[in-house]
Amino acid sequence: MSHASSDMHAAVDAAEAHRPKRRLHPATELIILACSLLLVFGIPSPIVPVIILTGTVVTVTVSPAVRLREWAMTVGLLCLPTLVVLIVVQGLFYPGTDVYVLWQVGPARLSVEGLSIAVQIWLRVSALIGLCAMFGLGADSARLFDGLRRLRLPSAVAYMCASAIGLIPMIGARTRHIIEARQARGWATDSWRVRIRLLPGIVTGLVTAILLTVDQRHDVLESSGLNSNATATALQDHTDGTGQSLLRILTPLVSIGLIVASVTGSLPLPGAAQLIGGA
Amino acid sequence: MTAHSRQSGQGPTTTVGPGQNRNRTLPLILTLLGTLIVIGTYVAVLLTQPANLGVDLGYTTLWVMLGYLGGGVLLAAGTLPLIPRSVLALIPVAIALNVVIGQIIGNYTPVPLYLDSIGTVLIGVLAGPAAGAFTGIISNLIWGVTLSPSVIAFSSGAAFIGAAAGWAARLGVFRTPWTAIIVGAVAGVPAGAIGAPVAAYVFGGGLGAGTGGVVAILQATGLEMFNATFAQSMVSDIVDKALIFALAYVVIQSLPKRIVGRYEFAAHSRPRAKKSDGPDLTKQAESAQPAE
Repeated sequence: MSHASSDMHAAVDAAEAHRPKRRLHPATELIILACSLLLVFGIPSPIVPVIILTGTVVTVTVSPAVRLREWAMTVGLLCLPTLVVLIVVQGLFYPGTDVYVLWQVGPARLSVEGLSIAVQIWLRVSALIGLCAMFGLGADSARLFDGLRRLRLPSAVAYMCASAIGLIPMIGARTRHIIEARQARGWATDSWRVRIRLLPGIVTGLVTAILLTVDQRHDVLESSGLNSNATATALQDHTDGTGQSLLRILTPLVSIGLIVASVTGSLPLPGAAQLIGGA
Repeated sequence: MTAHSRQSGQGPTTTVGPGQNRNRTLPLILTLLGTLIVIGTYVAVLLTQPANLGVDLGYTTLWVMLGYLGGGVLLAAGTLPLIPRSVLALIPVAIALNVVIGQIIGNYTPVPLYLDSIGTVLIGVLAGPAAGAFTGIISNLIWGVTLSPSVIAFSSGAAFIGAAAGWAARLGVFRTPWTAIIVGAVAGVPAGAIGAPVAAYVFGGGLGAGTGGVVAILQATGLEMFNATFAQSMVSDIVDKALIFALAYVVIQSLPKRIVGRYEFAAHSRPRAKKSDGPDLTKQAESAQPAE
């Protein structure tokens, strides 16, 4: 009996050791995410996305929940094509008239103004992708559910969001298996034309299979008390306290204050024109 | 949302969840307010903004994001109480379908299409316009915070497509493929118009390889940025929504009757019952479903 008890204690200790110690409450993470989104689009200075991106890199580096390599791969995969598209659309084909042209061939002209806009939009999008990737890679259904419930969202909404987070990788894997199966039968699935042609079959099979899986799930949810508004116990243990509660209140207030200051012109952050002029 | 017992004093005796809300005034006010904010933002942006972005991006992105997101949140809050409970378990599946099909097929192809609203349209057809609109908003928010933050700003357009699918289904559009395709194309016009200011002023013309390529070509022919983005959005959305509505028709007609039968609103999209087969399913659905 005592041997079993000591084993159990050892297992609990091991689990404690592996649990991320210094991680914010998911509700705090969601608030920071929303405020960063507001700041990136609310203050038209390239400094803001650079600060957010730098902060994200530092956080990912020290975070026990997200691996730097995985995060960097995800962000790179999403951001690099975006940069190429923006440089083509704005950098090479900026339609403004009063521009400083660096290079021109045919209708394409590389302008300082176009490049500046492309880089600014890319920085904004990259900052958000970086932040969201950090959140997405470190979150699971239970964390998101707890975070949303802590923010007092209805349990039905929290369930839908959390369940979707769990279903995305599952349906993604199932879709890839279907595409691979078609490929094994001789379809050139690398071609987008073939993918478009296969779309009805893929979607119909997927929807039917998943609907059969979730059939009558709402009955189970109802009997589990999903519609009850009673305070629910968190699914996981999260570190929370007065400091984080204050952070959840102060972060939106500071963000709104910064944006108001920027709109009224009392925030001394340089815009892109000043940065280009200074360079 | 909770009914309290006046006699026992032991707290709630019954619970009221989404789709059970009998008081529709507040949800309808919120929905109307959300719609007005989105439309107001759209008109204000069109009337006040230059056709090209300046080097200093300015505050247009802030107003577009605030207006569209604020409107979207109000729409979600207004439509949630109108959603039938039986659909709650289906909405996460629809969201995941939107993300996966949009990400795997829409994003990684050079075609200027999105293909990211099949789940939203399916929910609209199975459960009505309120559920469709709600799914569109939540889908873009979830997709945004996990993989692709750029789609968050397009939440209002996604809500419109979900609601449009529900309205179309109520008219029996999904009973034949051609009506589904035509109405999908028609729904693509306002969807493209709603999305154009976001694509132009927030993302400089679009971030996808296919859509961005079209905008670049149109700008090269002399169109200003907003006009190029508007033209691209129109063409892409019309084709995209026609394709998605056609796809939804195929899926709905292929689903087992046992599954479709669980969703009363889906009776609008089933083939008309012959008189000898018993009572008209559509009439049953109309009498049973909550008004939306």
